[in-house]
Amino acid sequence: MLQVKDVVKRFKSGGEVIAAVDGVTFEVPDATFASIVGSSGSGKSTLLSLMGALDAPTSGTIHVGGVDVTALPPGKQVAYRRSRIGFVFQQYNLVPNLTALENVMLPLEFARVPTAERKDRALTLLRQVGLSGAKLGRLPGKLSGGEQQRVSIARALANRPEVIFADEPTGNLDSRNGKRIVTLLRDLVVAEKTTVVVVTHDRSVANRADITFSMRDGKIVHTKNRGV
Amino acid sequence: MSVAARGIKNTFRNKTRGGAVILVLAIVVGLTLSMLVANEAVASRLATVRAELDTTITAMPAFSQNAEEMGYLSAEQLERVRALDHVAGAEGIAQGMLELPKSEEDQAGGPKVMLGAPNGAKGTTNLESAVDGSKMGAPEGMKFPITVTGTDGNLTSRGVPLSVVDGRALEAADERGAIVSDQVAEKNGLAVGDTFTAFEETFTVVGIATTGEYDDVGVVMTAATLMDLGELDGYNNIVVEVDDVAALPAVGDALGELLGDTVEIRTESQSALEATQGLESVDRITWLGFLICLLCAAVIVFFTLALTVRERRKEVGVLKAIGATSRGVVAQFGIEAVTLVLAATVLGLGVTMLTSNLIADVLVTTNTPAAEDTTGAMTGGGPGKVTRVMGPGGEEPQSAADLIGEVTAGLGWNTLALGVASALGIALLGSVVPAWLIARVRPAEVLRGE
Repeated sequence: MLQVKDVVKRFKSGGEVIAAVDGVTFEVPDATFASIVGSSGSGKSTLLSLMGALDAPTSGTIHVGGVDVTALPPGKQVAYRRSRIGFVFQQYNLVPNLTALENVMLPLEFARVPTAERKDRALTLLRQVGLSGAKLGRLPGKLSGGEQQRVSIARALANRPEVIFADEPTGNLDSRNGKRIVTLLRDLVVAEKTTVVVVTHDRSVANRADITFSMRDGKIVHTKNRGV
Repeated sequence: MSVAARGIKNTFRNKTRGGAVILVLAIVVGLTLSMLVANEAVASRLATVRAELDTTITAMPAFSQNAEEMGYLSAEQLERVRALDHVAGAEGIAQGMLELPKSEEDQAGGPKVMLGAPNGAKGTTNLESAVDGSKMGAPEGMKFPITVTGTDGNLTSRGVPLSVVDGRALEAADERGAIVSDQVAEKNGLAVGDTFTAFEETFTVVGIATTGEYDDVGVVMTAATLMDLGELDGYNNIVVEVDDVAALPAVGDALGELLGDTVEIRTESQSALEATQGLESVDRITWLGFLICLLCAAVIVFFTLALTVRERRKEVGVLKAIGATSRGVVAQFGIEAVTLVLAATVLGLGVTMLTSNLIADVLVTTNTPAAEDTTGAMTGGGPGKVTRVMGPGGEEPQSAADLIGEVTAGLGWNTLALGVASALGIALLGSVVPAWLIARVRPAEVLRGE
């Protein structure tokens, strides 16, 4: 269960204090595909970074699997990011001089998984997202956007996370590839019982979620539950 | 792929830039090592020259043909000299000449020579000089006197410690005991325990010492004996041992001040002093050059890494977001720096081999007085002034350049080890700030920039 309670994140900008996230509270049950929608500047990406322990909230708590991630010391936050969650970025953010396979093996290396097991698991994950053969040895620059995003998803899945946070995962893809990525993420929820939280502008993506939170000016203004 | 492998791979991510940085760094690292190699070669030569350096100064009454005008140095003056700073020891030396009793032929005006200071002791002996006059182009039949030295410190007439090869050293109680040179002993068939006459007294040979070509040992007796028998009013000179080569000029000046302007201060080490001063300058220059080059290399590494971190800030953020620790990312960039510097060091060794000797040569040449500046005629050496004198045996003193000889800079294992350690130091020094920048990168900024 992902529980967000009274979370506030304020920034100072030009001497003015802005509440990017302003008292947000919601819950996402396990094995759920959730989406957060809203216009630019609504606070959805900031909320995602707070849930991913990439940033600390000004106040409020975030529990993942019963653990308050906001109370974790920095070292434990790294461990949390490494083992309990996975990130998928809009611009894929693959390491450019590592091959597709090496990119997927990277989080496994950080988790000190034995070398032989790293390769096996990375190959399995890449096959699972539909990549195999020569493409695995290619650098990201030699892969299409859709392929890079699939590598990015495989990388996010490497350490078998409980939750995957995806920030605009289809933002740089054409509609066909976008649909494939969303299907992939949905399949994870079913097959791996993984919770997926997607931040998106795209209504078609949001509509495929089990639950959708709409944000405006840092607040959740609407919640649409499609039968969780 | 390990952190190390990733670090090495990242070094050559941009081959053109990586290659250019390594090339520039190789030149700087090469010069750094050259300075180090030159410094070690110069330091080694400096130690050798210093070890060879004569650290004695001789104080003697200013020369005059008139013995009464020359005067002597007193026991009290000797004590005051011994109390000066940097004086490790001082001995008073009485000098004189012994010659065979004059034959009728000599008295009639046959060829003869009588050397020595005008105020020295003069006496007769039954010993024959071992000096071969023909070697000096002297007329046949010319008779040479024998040097006689009165010393309590077992020194030659030139103030050099005696090298006794048979018998024993001279003791204060040896009123009628003497050491003779091996040449005199051989010429006169003397052995330890034999006797000879000098100043119309009988002396027993207590020891035999080696001597130079022109026999500067001759006969050595106690200072008190020679002053008594030779009717001297004091020492003919005081030989001062200085504790530090660098203190020679200061001690010379102090002696001049202490003994007054009727005393001449002499050292045989002026050229050597100039040589050591020249080498000391090169030693300092090369060490400073080493530090400057090291700093330049560190600055190059710093800017390269700082630029790399700045360019790859997003990548650093992503690595942290997917579970890398700051320490892990810093280690990866540190390995990049080490790879960069080690690759440059390998190339730089070639630069070192090409330039180290050249640098040492140029610096030594430009910092050492030329031969014509340090050799040549003996200076007048006025009273109380430090002057150079002829070398032992009367040979022309060596110039500073001659003393230094050739400084050969060689790349040894120690230098290589120090070079590699320096290279790693460069990498470490140049990585500190970039590492701090890496630690400050917050992964949230990556998402915010999306």
